[in-house]
Parts: sequence; C-alpha cells; structure tokens
Amino acid sequence: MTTLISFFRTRRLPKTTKWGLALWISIAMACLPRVAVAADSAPEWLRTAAQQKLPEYEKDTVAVILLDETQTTVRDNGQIETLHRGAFRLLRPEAKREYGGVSVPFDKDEKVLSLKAWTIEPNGHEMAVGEKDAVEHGYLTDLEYADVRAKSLAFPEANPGSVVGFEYVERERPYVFEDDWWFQDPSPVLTARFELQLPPGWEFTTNWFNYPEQQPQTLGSNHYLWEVKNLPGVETEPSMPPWRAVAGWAGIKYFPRDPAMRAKSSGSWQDVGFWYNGLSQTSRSPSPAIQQKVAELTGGISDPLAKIEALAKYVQQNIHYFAVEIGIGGWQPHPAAEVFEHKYGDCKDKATLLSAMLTGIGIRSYYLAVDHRREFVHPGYPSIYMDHMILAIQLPDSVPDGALYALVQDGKLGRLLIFDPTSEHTPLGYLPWYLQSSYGLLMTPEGGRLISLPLLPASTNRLLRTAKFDLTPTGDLSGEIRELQWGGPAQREREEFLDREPSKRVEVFDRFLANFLDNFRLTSASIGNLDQDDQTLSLTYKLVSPRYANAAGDLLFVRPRVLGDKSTSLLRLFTEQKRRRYPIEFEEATRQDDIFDITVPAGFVPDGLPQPLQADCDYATYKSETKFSDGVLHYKRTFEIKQVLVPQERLSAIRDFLEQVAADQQSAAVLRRATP
Amino acid sequence: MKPTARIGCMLVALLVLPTFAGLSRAMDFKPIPPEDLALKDNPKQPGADAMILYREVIVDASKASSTGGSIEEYIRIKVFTAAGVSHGHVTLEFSKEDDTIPYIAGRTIRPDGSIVKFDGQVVETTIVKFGNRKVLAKTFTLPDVQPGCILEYIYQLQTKPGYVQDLLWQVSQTVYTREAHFTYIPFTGYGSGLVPMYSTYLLPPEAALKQLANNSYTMVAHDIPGVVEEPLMPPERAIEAHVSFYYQDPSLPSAADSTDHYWGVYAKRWDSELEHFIDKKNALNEELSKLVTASDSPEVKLRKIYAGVLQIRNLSMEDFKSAKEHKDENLKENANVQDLLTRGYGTRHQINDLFVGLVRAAGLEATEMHVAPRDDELFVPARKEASQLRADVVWVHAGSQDYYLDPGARYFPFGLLPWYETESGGIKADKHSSAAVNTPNPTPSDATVVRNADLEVGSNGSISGSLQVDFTGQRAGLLRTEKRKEDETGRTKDLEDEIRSWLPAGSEFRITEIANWDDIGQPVHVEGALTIPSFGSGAARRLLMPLEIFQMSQTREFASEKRENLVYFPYPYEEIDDLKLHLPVGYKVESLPPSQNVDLKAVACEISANAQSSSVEIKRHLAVRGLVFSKDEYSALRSFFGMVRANDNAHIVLQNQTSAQNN
Repeated sequence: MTTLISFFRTRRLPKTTKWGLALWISIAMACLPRVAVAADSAPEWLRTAAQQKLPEYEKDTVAVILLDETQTTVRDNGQIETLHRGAFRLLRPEAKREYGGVSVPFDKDEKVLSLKAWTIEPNGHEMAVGEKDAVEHGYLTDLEYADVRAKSLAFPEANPGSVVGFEYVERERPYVFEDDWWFQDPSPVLTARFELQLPPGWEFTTNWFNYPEQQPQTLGSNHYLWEVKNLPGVETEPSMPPWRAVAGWAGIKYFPRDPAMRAKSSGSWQDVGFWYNGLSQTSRSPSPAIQQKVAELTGGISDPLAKIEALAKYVQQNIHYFAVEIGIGGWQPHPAAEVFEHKYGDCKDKATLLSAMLTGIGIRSYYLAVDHRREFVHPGYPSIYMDHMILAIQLPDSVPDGALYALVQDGKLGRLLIFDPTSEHTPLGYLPWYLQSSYGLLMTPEGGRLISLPLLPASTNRLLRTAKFDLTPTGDLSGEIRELQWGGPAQREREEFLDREPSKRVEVFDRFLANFLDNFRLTSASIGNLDQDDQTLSLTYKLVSPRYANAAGDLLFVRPRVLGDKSTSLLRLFTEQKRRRYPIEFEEATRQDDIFDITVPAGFVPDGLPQPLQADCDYATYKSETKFSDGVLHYKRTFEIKQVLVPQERLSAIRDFLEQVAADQQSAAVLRRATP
Repeated sequence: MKPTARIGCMLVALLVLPTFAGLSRAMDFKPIPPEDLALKDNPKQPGADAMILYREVIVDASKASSTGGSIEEYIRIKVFTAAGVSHGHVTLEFSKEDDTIPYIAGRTIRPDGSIVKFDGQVVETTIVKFGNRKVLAKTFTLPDVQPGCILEYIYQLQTKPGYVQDLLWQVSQTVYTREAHFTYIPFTGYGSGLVPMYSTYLLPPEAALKQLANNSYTMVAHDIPGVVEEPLMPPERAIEAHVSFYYQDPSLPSAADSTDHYWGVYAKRWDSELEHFIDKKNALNEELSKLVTASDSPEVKLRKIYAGVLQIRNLSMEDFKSAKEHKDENLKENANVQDLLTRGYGTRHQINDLFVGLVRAAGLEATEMHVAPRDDELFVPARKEASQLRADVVWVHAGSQDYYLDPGARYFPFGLLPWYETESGGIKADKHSSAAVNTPNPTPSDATVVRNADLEVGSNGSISGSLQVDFTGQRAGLLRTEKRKEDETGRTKDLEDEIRSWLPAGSEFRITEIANWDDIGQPVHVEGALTIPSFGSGAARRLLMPLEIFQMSQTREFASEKRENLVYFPYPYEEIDDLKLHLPVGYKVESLPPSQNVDLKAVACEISANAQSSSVEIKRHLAVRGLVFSKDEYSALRSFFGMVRANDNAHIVLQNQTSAQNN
C-alpha cells in the first residue's frame, strides 16, 4: 500500500480531542445498559463559567470556549498528574458535532484517573455523566498498530444554548519533560489557564509562539499560573500553514533537580540528539544476514553512488510500511536485523535498516528527525516532537553532486544527502515536497543539530506536455500527447497509477481528460518507467474528441489549450465566502510547459488569435502565446511556481494572477473558412 | 479482499474455556502448484493487484451448547503488484467476551518457491469497549510479501458455549476468488425448538449448496468476480453473492416453504402487530375529529391526516439519545397509538402506524407495507428472508385511487415517497394476501432543479447577477432531511457551497433568501447573487461564452470508458434552466449555436439560445427518465452526457461592434 507520509509518532498523546468519535459513541451508547447517574449537579467552576456574559460574535460562530484549564503537578520522581477542565457554550447545531463530547487518549504509560462531564441546559437543568458511561476505543489502521486508546464521553443534551463541561485527571511518567499548551481553538476562547506546580529545586522555561509572552502569577512555592483571555478563533483554511505556525501556544519545559533525570529535559537541540542517540544507538548494527544482502545488492558495483542507490531502492521498495509502536516504540526504532527479517517497519525502522546497510559499504549516515508539516519545527524551541524520521547520508568526496538535489552542506560532516526511504516513489537525490523548505534534527554522536532542508528548484519538478493534434472542418480533434515528468509531479502521478490495479490505470487518463474534453475517446495509452522511480515518467496517449471546436457558419472556435489546468484547484483556495486570514502554502516549486501544435483543416485561416499573456507575481509566473504558421496553430505556455509560501498580505496578488491564468486558459482562436 | 476480516459471528459466551490446547483443527497448508507460483496475472480477470487462489471456511456450531462453536478459515492469495502487498496485513476482529482466536498461522511463498514462515508478532488491540463489552482485533503482517508471492494464513476463532448465531458466508470478496469451499455444521441440539435455515443469493451457477447426511452444508464455488466500486452502482448488497444461515422458531416459515406461504405468514404477523398497535379506537376517533370534517372528500381527508401526523414529534429524525437522555426527558416506549397521541412523540414506524389507524378510522382502506429500501438492497421474494424488508410505507385506497405514503419520513410532501422507497418491492401487512407489491415508479418531474438566472455580461468576460434555484420533490425532501439539524446559518452555508460547486472555479455565490424551508409542500426556493470572474473569453474582437453556466455533475460519473456494474440512478430527475444574459454595451450577437435536442428516451436534453436586442436567453432541459441501465448501455449513456456537455459548452459569439467597425 502506498504511503505518502510515515509517522515517527510522538509519544506525547494528542491533546484532548473534543470529538470525532461520534460513530463509536453512537454504537456503544446503543448497547450500554441503562444506568442511573447519581449527583446530576454541575461543579461550581462550570456554573461560574456558564454565567459569563459573552461578547458579540459572528453569527456563524459554532461555540465559545468559556474555560480551558490545565493544572499540572510534577512529582520529584518525574511522575506528572494533570487535571484538565473545559467548558463550552454551544451556540449552533454544528456544535454538537464538534463539541459534543470529550475524548481522552491514554496508553500503557498514561492512565486516566477520572473522567466526568456535565451539561447545563438553557433552563438551568444540570446533567452529569461519568466514567461508566464512557466508550473506550483504539486507533488501529491498516498501516499502523499502536497501543494508544481513548476514553470518550458524550455530553448529554449537547444542544444550542447549553453549556457543557468536562474534567479529567491523568497520571503519567513521560519520556521527556515537555508540555505544549495550546490555548487557541477554531472557536473563540474566553479564558485559558495553565497552572504548574513543580517540586522544590525544579526549574522551567516557557516559549511563546504566535502570541506575546505572558508572565506567570506566582501562587506559591514553585507554583505558577498563566492566564490568557478573549482569544479569537483560528478557523481552518485549505492549504494554510500548520496550526502550530498560526495559533497561539506556549512550550513549557521542566528541568529536574536530580541530574540523573536531566536527560529527559532538552534545553538544546544537542540535548535532544543525545537523548535520541541513547535510545537508538544499538539499533543500527548490521546482522550477518544484512551484510550478506548488502554484498548481494552491491556486488560488482564499484561506483559508491550506485551502491547507495541500490541499497536505498531496496529499502524503499522491499520493506513495507507497517508501524508497530508500543510504549517507547513510538520513538525507538526496531533493530535493523528485525526489520530486515520481517521486511516491514515504520519510517524510523526503514531509516535504521538503510543506515545499517550503508554501514556495510562504509558509508556513514545519520538519523534526521523531521515533520511533514512545513513550519511545524521552530528553530528556537528544541523538541523531539516531530512526526517522521529520514536519513542524512554522508557522501564520499568521490561522488559528484550531479543530479543529487537534496544536498545539505554541514559544517562538520560535509555533504549530506537527505533521503526518505519511506516515500516509495521519491528517488535518491530528491526530497518529498512536504519535507522541503523545512528543518530537520540531525542526530550525530555529538548530539542533535538543527539543519535547514532545501526547497528544490522549480526545474527539478517538471511537467513537459507536448502534443500534435489534427482538427477537421467539423471541429473534431484527434492527436497524440506525450508527457514527461520529473520530481514531484512524477511522484504523485506514479502514486496515482500504482494505487490502482493495472486494469484500472486507464481510468487515470479518462478522469484527467474528462476535465477538459466534453466528449472524447482514448484510443491508446502507455506509461513508461512507471516502476523506475529514478527515471523520467513518460505518458503517451492518443485521443479523439468529436466536436472539440465549435462551428458557427464559416467560423471554427478552438481552444488551443486543449489539456491541462493551472488555476482551478488553486482558485478553489479562495472560494470560501470568508476572506482568507492565513497564508497559502504551495506544495513545491515547479515548472510546467505545454507545447501543442494543432493542424487546422485545409482552407481555414485565423480570424483572431488569443492575445499572448505574461503574468507575474512574486510567487509564480505564467506565459502563453498562440501563433499560426503553415496551417498549424502553435500553442505554448509555461507556468512556474517559484516560492511555496504566500503570506497573507500577498493573497490578493496571487488571486489576481490565478484569475488571469483562468481567463487565458479559456481563450479561443477563431478560424475562418477562407476557401469553400 | 479487505485485510480486515470481521468475524465473531457466533454469539455471546457464558463460560471461559481455560485452554485451547486440545482444540482440533481441520486445516493445514496445502502444497503449492508450480503453475500458481508462476502466475503473473489472473487470466480470467487480467490486471488485478491480487486474487484469492483458494479459500476455505469451516464453521462448526454443532457443539455450541457444550464446548462452543468454531470458525476456521484458510485463505491463499496471489499478489501481482506492489499495491497487492497490502493483503499481507491482516486484522481479525472479535468480541472479547464471546470469542477467542487461539490459532493463527501464516506463511509467504516467494516466487522462487522458498517459504518464509510467519513467526512474528500478533498484536491485540482494543477496537472499542463500552460497558462490559469489548471488541478486540488481532493484527499481524506476513513476512517478506512481494509481488509474485503467494501468501496464506489460517486462523481459528472459538466461540464460547451457550449460544448460536446467524451466519453469513460472504462469497463475493473485493478481489477475484478462483476457488472457495464452505462447510457449515449447524447446531441441532434444540431438537425442534430452533431450526437452522438458509437462503442463497447470486451464487455462481455451479455453486449448489448441498446438505449432507450429518446435517452439515457444503458448497464449492469457482471464479467469483471481485466487487468493483463505481459511481452510480447498485447497492453492494444487491450485487454480492452470499449464503445466509439463520436459526428460527419452527412456527415461522422457512426457506423450504413456498414463497407464498413464507410471505403469507409474515404478512399476517405484521397485520396482527399493526392491529395491536392501533387498537385504540376512541383515541383515534378523537384525534381524527381534530383533523377532518365529515364533508371532506376522501383525498382531502387523507391529506389532512397526513399533514396532522407530520406534526407529531418524530424521534427517528432526532439525534441518537443515550439511555440517560431518554430517562432525563422521560421518553417512554409507546405501546399503542394512545400512548403516542398522549405523549406526542413516536418513531418513524409508529407514526406510519398511527397514520394507518387514523385513515382507517376515517373509513378508508389502509395498511402498512414492508419494503426493501432501494438504497440498501433490492427485494427478491424468492430469497425468503424477511430482513430484506427493513422499511415501511403506508398503502391507502381512497376514492378510486391507490396511494403510497410515508409520513414517517417527515420531509416529503403528500404523494411522494422518498426515492429509496419508490419502485421498491414489498409485502403488505395483510391477513389474507401475501402477494409481493411494488411501490409506484418515480418520475423525473418528482425531482427537479429549476434554475433561473438574470446576468450581466462584462466586456472582460465576467458575468454577475441574480440566480434563483428551486429544488422540488425528491430534491427538496432530501435537502430538508439532510439539513434538518442545521440552523439557518448552517443551511445557508451548505447551500452556498453546493451551488458554488456547480459553477466554475473562482465563482462566488451569496444567498440572499431561502424560502419555503418549513413548508414541505413547496419547493425549497433559493435566491442569491452570482459572480463568475472569467466566464467568457476574448478572441480578437469577439467574446466567446459557453451556453451553460452550470457544470455537469455527470462528467465525473461517466469519466471512465470502462464499466463493470449496472448503472443505477437513485431516481429519475430533471434540470430546467432559464438563463438571461445581458450583453455588454457595444457588443452584439455574432452567432449562436443551433438548438440541440438529444433524445434517447431514457435520457434526453434540449438546449436552445435566442437572441433579443441586447440579451440572449438560454433554455435547457435535461431529463434522466430511466433508473437502471445495463453494462452494455453504459457507452451510449456516456456518449449522451458527452454530447450534452459539448452542447452546453457550445459558444455564444459576441462581437465588439466598435472594434468590428474599425476593422
């Protein structure tokens, strides 16, 4: 099964989710015995929260977070007990879907000590539910087994006008002393609090993001409270940067008094690297079986790069993605020998095996922790919480840069080739788009070091589409199209084809063509280098499209841009009725060319050709032109995305640009019958 | 085949067996024929990711009361492609209270014939736990699965003793099955108290189910195609082959009985239940007196009663309520119509029963009719399974006319059934008759979208103006049902999103009014302001514009040239558009596309454009009249929608008079 992104799962459990588990709840509730719940009275803190007067909100506001409170108590032995409270006023029916319950994740290292929830109806009637009403469920997927489970409670009568609230207590002994306090929400927040009680001698640091730093109130000895109020909602927009890059949050780290426990606290990226080295140092030893396989794969090859390619391809294609993550297994890779024997593993397992195999040919490599969400990693806030693991391969001097684009020059280690063995169709030398223009934590024996990952140039992500068509006097079009793709476009296209059974791959052509042609018949189609990820992907297909051109008397109207669309999907980023508030992230820099020749029917001459267009903005360029010579319409256009992040203040410029492209794509040439 | 096998079909256990060490197994891995190892593709269905070479299922319920029942399954899969490798990940779900999976074995046979035995980890996880019930899953991944491999595994599921449960042999899988063996040894220990029954559906011709002397059943089936998902396909249950085994009270009819007898018993039984529920004449008469007058004609009475029962609180249209919420609101089960009328609420089924009671009290003939909802399955009377009939409607004879109504559906006007209950087979609750009856066929005019637009064309090709949309009949009923829990803000946003999805990218549509939302007798009427920034395109001194502003949803449904399943439209429908485009100053119409009328009877579309002094009016009428089309008709349908799209996109050519004069 093709996997776009593999998760180097953080062991920190997700923050309480407000919902998303309606199905489980409804299944389970239907089967629950009727239970009598005693003490249907809400706690005083919830009543107080419910009495707050609300400011005026936009009429589509779904709910208001009246209170979001976390009380964290750290014991000297490293055990942490946390009380969470939440109170929501539900304003609209959608709130039941989004705020209709509380779901608390846990695993073998984290226990839920108590869980309660209440509803205060608009008439003041109070209802309560408790742990015996909860549903417990796992998160099993086809690609992952993890021991994380969750307890979920539905708020009774969670209807507009009601105030709902929950309280739960968790106890854990975390692997790292680090907490993220997310105090914004898609809905407005009236009050958010974070209270921290540390043992004597412990220290803490805070880092604030997307919100001004707040000083804590001191409540007692090593006992602090932070409070923020009246926060606007952060609504989700398509292709926006990750939540962490736009919403307010604070990262809080604790530093134990006992030096023996200090390894769990990361004051620097170096510390994080040391911690991870301790966890993974024994995993990468090549077993005799691995060594034998390395010899088999590289025997007869003298070129070091060719050897690296052989091993990289082996791990990419023969080790299937399946994650078994139990306890520390969310961070700690399985030993290379085990991964090799089973032929499956998650991202860090695949990186581990490849690293062990590279050792077998004398090439050193280093874990590189990354996150698939661009802008997720903040250089000023060292943290192990990233969701993916790849590899940085130290290249021998004898290997030329050549077609290796994913290169980083490290001051100490020299040239590093960044490679993701989990991305099945990204060849050595390239970097998946979701890891470009981002950061990675390089795990070296000297500890961790944050490095920048490059944005690969547009020229590495290419689509070149050429075609020759014939047009009949009645407007029927036929012709052959050839596409050559490299980099990102090739990777995505390969995934689309390979995700389908061979007999259904022709549907990819059908669906693509249906976007542009009213009526068509594909007469042949072939795919070249589908399985050779390091080769240019080529598609060749022929089609017939009756009445492609519109006839009107002696005129024929023909759209020279027969295929391809550079604007529709991007313009849809703007189609929400509300004005966008956050930047747009494109996937990658890319250059795409269409070069079409349309032979017009004999006796027809142009009566008007589309005006050439040159459209530019800071992030993209577009150029198109249509010419006529020797009975042939020559259409040529180039579309290029140069930068991947469009800041909010430049959104109108990109929209104007895309609208120009959309208009140009529709433009038609007019042909006139010159001779009867 | 989905890697997840949902098993645990035997029932609730009473005792926990201490050990399964002595458990007997019938299955073991079979030798691999070399030709299977060499197989590169499925010759009978080429181009697949994988196929099941062999499947064997043995279900033994004979010891259900003593040591418990067991299910043993052996699956051998040939992997052809990298995507087929996912079959190596296996998940077996089971109930912790009732089942155990004491045995799992697996192996991968590489293309060279070498065998890698599965000795990896089988992990167990909680799928869901509620109260004292827990559904778990055992998952494992077979080693070294590559294209060309054969992978196989055997598992045994043991149920705890004390119960038996119905069993479904899912003969069709998502991939092709070359050979499948099924054995079922039913529980017979109840003597005459509980009798094992079965029914079959869509089995391959040679796959006859045999009953052996020891009361067990066996079946061998070959060459069962995989179920392919496609747009506009019939409900999956209607195209999947299966055998259903069940136990039932011997007083109820069995599959061995004649079709007439089988359904006759149920018709009588449903009639008796209905009679019991509505047997409160005083309550019905009192309610009826509030709704109708003696002078009302039969149809008027019927309409008034229909309108009256719609006012009853319909619990089936509300969110699921927990036991606590039921208790808190003091909601109780209605035993009869009197309870329902006193309390003012009922389920969808109870509201239909009340309707029958009131109609009868008004002196008209009426009864309940159990139907197979077409969105889920198609009624086959010969398949003697009462569970096919999961929905109910009301049949009324008033005046000289038959009516089929479902007031319990709440959002459909008098005379209109929800689409999934139209053209549906069923059985009336009737103590005298068991004949299968069909509800009326839907008509295209029962589901229309009528769009009227008055738009100004800009000289840059943009258009803007007002758009009015009327959703009638099914379209309105479905909208009202789907959005019944939304408030006005939510409805407005959803409708804006839907209408915007009909328009080219970058278009804007803002609703200014939604009318008739609560009046189910009227179409849902939506008005708003529309802007399409680049609708027309320039061509020298001309402006070209497609005739139709709305994009066809059928483009996606008919994108593929190939078709595996029947084409199954949920309901016939019509789209009726009337668009008025006001030309920009200085422009005149140079040419209009000729009127087009493509009429294949089952589908038809007519479009025309007429120029007036400074405007063009476009009228379009699309009608999909047929419901089911064979695979052979797919190509003609696809071609039809292609022609419709081409006609929609034919150009209106406007000429800039100023430029033209200068030329």
